[in-house]
Amino acid sequence: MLQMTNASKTFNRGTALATTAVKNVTLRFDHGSWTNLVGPNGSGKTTCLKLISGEHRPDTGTIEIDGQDVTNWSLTRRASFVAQVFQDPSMGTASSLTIEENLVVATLSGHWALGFGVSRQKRDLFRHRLATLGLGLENRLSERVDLLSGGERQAISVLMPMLRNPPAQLLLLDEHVSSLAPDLAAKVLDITQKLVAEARVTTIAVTHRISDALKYGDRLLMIHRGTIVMDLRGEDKRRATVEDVLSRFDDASGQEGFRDGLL
Amino acid sequence: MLDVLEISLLYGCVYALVAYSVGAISYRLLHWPDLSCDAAFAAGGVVTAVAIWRGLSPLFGLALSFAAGAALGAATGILSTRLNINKILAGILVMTIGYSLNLRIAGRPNVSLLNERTLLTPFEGLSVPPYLPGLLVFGSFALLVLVLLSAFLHTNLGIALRATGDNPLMAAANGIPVKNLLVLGLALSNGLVGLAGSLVAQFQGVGDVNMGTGTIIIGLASMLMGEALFRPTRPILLLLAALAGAMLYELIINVALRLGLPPTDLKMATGFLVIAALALRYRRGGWQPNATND
Repeated sequence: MLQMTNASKTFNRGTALATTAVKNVTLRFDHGSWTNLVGPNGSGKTTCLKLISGEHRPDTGTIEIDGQDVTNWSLTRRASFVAQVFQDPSMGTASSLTIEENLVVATLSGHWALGFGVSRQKRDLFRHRLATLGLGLENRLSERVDLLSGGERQAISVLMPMLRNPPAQLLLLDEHVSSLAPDLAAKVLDITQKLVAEARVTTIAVTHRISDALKYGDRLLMIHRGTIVMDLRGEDKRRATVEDVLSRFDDASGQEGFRDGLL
Repeated sequence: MLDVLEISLLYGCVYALVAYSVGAISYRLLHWPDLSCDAAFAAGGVVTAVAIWRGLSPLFGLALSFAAGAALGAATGILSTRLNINKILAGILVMTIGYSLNLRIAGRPNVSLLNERTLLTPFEGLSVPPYLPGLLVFGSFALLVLVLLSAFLHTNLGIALRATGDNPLMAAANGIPVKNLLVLGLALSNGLVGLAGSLVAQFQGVGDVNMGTGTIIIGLASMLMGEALFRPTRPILLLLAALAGAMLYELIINVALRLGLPPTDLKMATGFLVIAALALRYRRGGWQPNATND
């Protein structure tokens, strides 16, 4: 579904500060799959995500979606099928709008009829979808989003791409639970898993936590110095332990010091 | 000479339009302290005066004034979003260019409407207090615009506009054409300012190219003082705060004038009011927690 071929990205090219964040990476992400990208700080996992979102363009290589070359598409143009959820819970929603108004924004998708935004039909839909999150948000539709907790806002941020018409095909999660308390982080990840499975959205998540990367999704990619050093799927991923992943990482890097960044 | 309370109410109703647009829409919802409103207000007054002087109906003059203000607002939005010119600078440019345009439209610094037919003419000769017709006409404008704006802000387009001002990244990610909506928001805002300019010209019997000076400060002062009265959490309350702020602003200014404030010190007094309201807001927090730097 998503194909990245020989993609490379170097920052500050031609200067003494030149750093190659992604080196000749070729990856294929299947439709409806959930892939976790792990690696220490500065390994290139976030750059990889930004090459897909369109925030960065690769210096070489191509990015294709369903066979269409989108390498030179801007962030805005890609936004029609790519959705992102960021680490900061305030980024995915508009603070001064109510929950239902934020959800209306997701459903607009170019439908500019001058009717009232929150119709009864939409309110029923929102109530139904919010109820499945299990956070009680279905009873708080007309509350402003800035009254919600970070976890609640992130749950709404993950729901919004699913409400688009047509729904987003690609969901990019950039450490979307790392600013939340552990129990809330687990809850938001469970909600994400449920929504992604329902909508069969291709998901790519950058995460720091190996345990989360093993528990959720069906593929784990480890990036180190801009290259893929580990690609676990299916049965291999299910059987792997945190220690397995860390020791494979030590082999690849030859240094134990980097482990800290992965725990 | 009208009494302080009546004149304050009357001008409060007219400047409520400025408070809704400059204060609530541009400044509060779009985070855009929009200087082009100074030109839009004068354009509203001048266009209406010229239109009436040429024999067009006052209502048609009102519509032309809205269009003139909207064009100036759209120009500011386009300069900023398409040429990447700083928001404040774009407003200053339009304000400056607008001054010359207004002079061109008027053909001279001011156009008198003393013996012309205005919205208030039908009430002349009636045995009612002199302020009543103005208060009725301007009061109905203030309420009508309040209801229409409040409804608009809850339509698909209105919600998209508010999302654009609040979180442009999120709005763009959801397919909202952020740049176009900013242009639309500024056009709407300055169109309403043009309307206010038209009403003032019809009431005072003159359209003057200098009548818009300081409009932005009046709009901001009204909005901030309204917010100091109560903390608005949703659009209708924000507009009501703007209305209340405009009334309070006019009351304070007119009482101060009556108590002996020299009219030449008026703009200084207004400036101090804005600073006081901002300082109060800084201490108490306000409409949006993510809008700190205003």
